[in-house]
Amino acid sequence: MEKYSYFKKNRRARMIGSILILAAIFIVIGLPILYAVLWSLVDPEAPWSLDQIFPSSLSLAPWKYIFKNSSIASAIINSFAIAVSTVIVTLILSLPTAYALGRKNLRGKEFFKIVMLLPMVFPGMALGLFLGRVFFAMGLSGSYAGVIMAHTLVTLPFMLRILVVSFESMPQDVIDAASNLGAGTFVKLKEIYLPLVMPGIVAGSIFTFINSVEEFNLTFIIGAPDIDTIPTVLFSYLGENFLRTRASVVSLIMLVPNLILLIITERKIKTEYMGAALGKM
Amino acid sequence: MKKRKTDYLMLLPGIGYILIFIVFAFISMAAQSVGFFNYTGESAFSLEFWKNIFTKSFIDDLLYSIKIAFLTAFISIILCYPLSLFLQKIPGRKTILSLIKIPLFVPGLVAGFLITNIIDYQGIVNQLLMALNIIQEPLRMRNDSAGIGSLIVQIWKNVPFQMLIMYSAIESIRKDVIDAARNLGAGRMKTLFHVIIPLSLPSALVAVIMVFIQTFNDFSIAKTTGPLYPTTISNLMYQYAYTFFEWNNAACIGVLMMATSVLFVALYTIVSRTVVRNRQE
Repeated sequence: MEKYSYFKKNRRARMIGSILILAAIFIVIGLPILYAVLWSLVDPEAPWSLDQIFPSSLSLAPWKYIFKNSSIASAIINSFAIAVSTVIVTLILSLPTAYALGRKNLRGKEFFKIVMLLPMVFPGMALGLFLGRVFFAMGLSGSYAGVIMAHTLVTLPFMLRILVVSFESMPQDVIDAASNLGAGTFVKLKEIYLPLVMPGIVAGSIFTFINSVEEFNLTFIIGAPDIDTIPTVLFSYLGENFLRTRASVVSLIMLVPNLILLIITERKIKTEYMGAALGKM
Repeated sequence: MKKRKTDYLMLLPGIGYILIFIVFAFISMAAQSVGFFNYTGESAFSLEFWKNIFTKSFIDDLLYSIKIAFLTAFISIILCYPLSLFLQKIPGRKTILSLIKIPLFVPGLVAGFLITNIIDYQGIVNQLLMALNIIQEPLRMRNDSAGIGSLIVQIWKNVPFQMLIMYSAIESIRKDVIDAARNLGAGRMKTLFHVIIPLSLPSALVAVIMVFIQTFNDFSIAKTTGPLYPTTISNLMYQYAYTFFEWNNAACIGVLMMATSVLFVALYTIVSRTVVRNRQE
């Protein structure tokens, strides 16, 4: 099928167009990342001054400094431990709900689907502050359980949306055929539902993981003062004690896993999940 | 009938979890805005906080939030439209689309820092402008009073998001509609303004609303790259809570933000329904 193009049907013009866009992407997206890499390698003995296009000498000193003198090592462990726990809790909570919403004829389904999105409607900082008050009253402030519960709340809508889409798109005739052949509930769950919903589980888990690692507002309020994650460490380096070399190191620590996950999603994940996950509302 | 009950029970883990915590957080916020649940001092019903909330800094911050959100949403969509049109037919568009998604996977705080490196005193933009003798002294673009730095970061982060929506909106316009227009004698410009743009406008509106509300609620990008004063309404709320310990005032702002969010989501729901209806026709 041919699609509309605003370009004249001229191969050379199109080729030039795509080269120009690639160049623009390099400048707008590649250059900032490259700059962060360079800044993270600036030798503290020979600062990068205004008249130099390139730092005069490179060293690993900023990286060593960060790992030695900041809470980044424990923040990395915290971030990933919290993210993995959040993925597990979110999955357990959403599988039955997504199954009911995706496959059953429920009264008030539209209403439940709106309720499902409430955590996205609540402004992030407001949710942080006032869920923080609730958690404080419950004695959950500054605890791993509190942070994981808060992350679960804000990642649930994405996971639910992705899983509902995958349950809805299952072909009914396959399920009917299994029933006709005498498959019981357990066999159907294991042999039909699970394999069919697996791509959704993988996609949902990846997005939950990313959202949890990135989550700042809630961790900042509810995790304080004991639990540091990579974003809260970065925030402190961007705020009062701003130092470009060190902030670069922390930024890159946060960026690399996400870029790897981007490559995985591009290869493995269907675009409809991407839409369900990225449509923030 | 018994089966029905288990269907609704399955909704509990997902929907129940969301409902409990969102309702708790909202009640805690709404009650504090009228004088209940105070950390210190008496708790009693009072409308005093609502009367005193509309201070000069509240108005300034509100206007600043609206300004940044409005500019981000509209500049991004203006950049997106031609880009999405060009991308439809050029070679290598798959690779280009993947590369454009990178900022979606860059956390807000990191994005702020990456862009700051480029536009700061020492950044390549200032170096270039000085080398070309356009400016004599480096421009201040981080924490500048107009919020240019914040705006650039927001646009960088949101163009890819809107691109995903717009690219597929334009891609899904059927070729026969365009052919019909061309056969009836419409030129390229006429096809663009009378077919392509009207048919993709509802999607563009959805994209604009989503980016508007996200940027309006932003805390961390404004805090790290925006001006000290005015700042976003989320920052004002945080200051009330943690700098001045005036939680009741923070709660009033939270309620107002929530109301704004709900309003925009309602708008979004109406618009996206019409998108779905148009697609089905």
